[in-house]
Amino acid sequence: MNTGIYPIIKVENIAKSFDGNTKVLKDISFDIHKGDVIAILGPSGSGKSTLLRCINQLEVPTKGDICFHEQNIKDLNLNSYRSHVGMVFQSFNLFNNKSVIENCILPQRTVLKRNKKDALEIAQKNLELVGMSDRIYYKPSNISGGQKQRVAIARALCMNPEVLLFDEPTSALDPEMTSSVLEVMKKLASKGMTMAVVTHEMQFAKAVANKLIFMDNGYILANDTPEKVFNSCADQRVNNFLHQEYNETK
Amino acid sequence: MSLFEQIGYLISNYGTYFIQGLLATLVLAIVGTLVGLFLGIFLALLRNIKVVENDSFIRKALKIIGRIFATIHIEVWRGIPMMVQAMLVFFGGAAIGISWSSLGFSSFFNGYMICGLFVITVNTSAYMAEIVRSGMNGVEEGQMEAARSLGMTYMQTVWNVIIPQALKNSLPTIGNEFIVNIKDSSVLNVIGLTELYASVSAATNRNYFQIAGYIIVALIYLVLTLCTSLLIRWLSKDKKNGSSNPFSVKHDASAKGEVK
Repeated sequence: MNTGIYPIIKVENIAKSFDGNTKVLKDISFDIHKGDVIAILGPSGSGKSTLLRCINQLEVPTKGDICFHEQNIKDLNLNSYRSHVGMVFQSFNLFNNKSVIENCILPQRTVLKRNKKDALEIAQKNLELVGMSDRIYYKPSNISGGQKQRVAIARALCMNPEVLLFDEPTSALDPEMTSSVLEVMKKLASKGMTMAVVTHEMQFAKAVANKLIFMDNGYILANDTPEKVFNSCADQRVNNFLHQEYNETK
Repeated sequence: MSLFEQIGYLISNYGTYFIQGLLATLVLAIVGTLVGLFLGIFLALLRNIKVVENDSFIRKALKIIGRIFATIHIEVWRGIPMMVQAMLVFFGGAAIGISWSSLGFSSFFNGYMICGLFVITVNTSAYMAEIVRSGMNGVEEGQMEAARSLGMTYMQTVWNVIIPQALKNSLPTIGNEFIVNIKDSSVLNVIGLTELYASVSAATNRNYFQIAGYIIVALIYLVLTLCTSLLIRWLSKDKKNGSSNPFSVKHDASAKGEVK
């Protein structure tokens, strides 16, 4: 599926430590190409979320470079870069003081300077895509977790991002809500959206992702197609983890 | 004359004094609270400002100066009684050449009133800064992160997302500050400002019905503060339940909608 000649995002040897000594990421390199759906798996504390946060620059890597269309993001306008790289959080983080539709409109108006009419149209279109068009005037406190996450996805989509980063989007949800969010993500994948998903959903990783990255202790231990990682990965640590988790989620 | 007759006498003969005093108190409390809140938001932002590693030298210096200014402003204005502040501003201002009377522009908004408004507003701003700041700190960190991840700037996020939530969280405390201002504006009589408390002496200096006068004024203060309390309680309740929202679905079982 690697249709682009060069990757949209190239992560080169990044490391991240907190307070000088807690090394969360040690040496991470990988590419995100157009149309990729990358599942990032690994045990808790392996640095998966920190990696996504580094890509969106919510954390600044202590070492290494991240390139967006072959340009180092240090040389780009941070806010304009971020509008191209959407992020969906585990805790949804919808703006509590805004309704569903306002959540989708505000970033378009402030960042992309779209006019009201366009912003509204785009918001409605994306809310329809995630199945939330009947709840557009609700406040976040009045909708369920799964609905919040779908709105968060719609909000990110409104910015027309080139890449969407998902940080454990279903970890805070019950199975029923999880499936409603995964459905939306599958739909996006089928439309060719480029995504990097930190997840524990093995089924999703196997069925939807075209690349699987396994992280442990700040390193990437495996980076290949899901079939290869699941079936013929040489690393015992990866095998143990994946098969244990897979059997649990089956 | 019995006490009740004295009260009746004061109301019928000096009613306008009390009404004028009441108006002055209300103007002081309302303007002081609203403008103080507005200034307080700026002070809270200044005090919360964070120096980032890749800030330029000038930016860093400005941020630090801003933070120090806000901190000093807040501590000084909260640490001195308003009565002393009023005297210092009134006489101190005159000493450095500020002619308060020339700043007045009507018989109501005279020099005393302008000076009083200045003192109560700046004094309130210091308290409001701390109220808004704690309200801002109470907003989940994820709100800022989500907005920044979408490309919104720090200030866009603060104005559109953080401040509205901080104000909503602080509504009862802000209302309380308004009640405090209704009562504490009485100390501004030291600079010669005739607000509600001072209206008693104006109404009783010829008849010596002080007790009756202070009972009238006490009742007016009480009615004002009780009404304000009720209003704030109603506003906070309304916000909490979202009952003003016609789309409220607290008990809607269909909240777990299916994906289309």
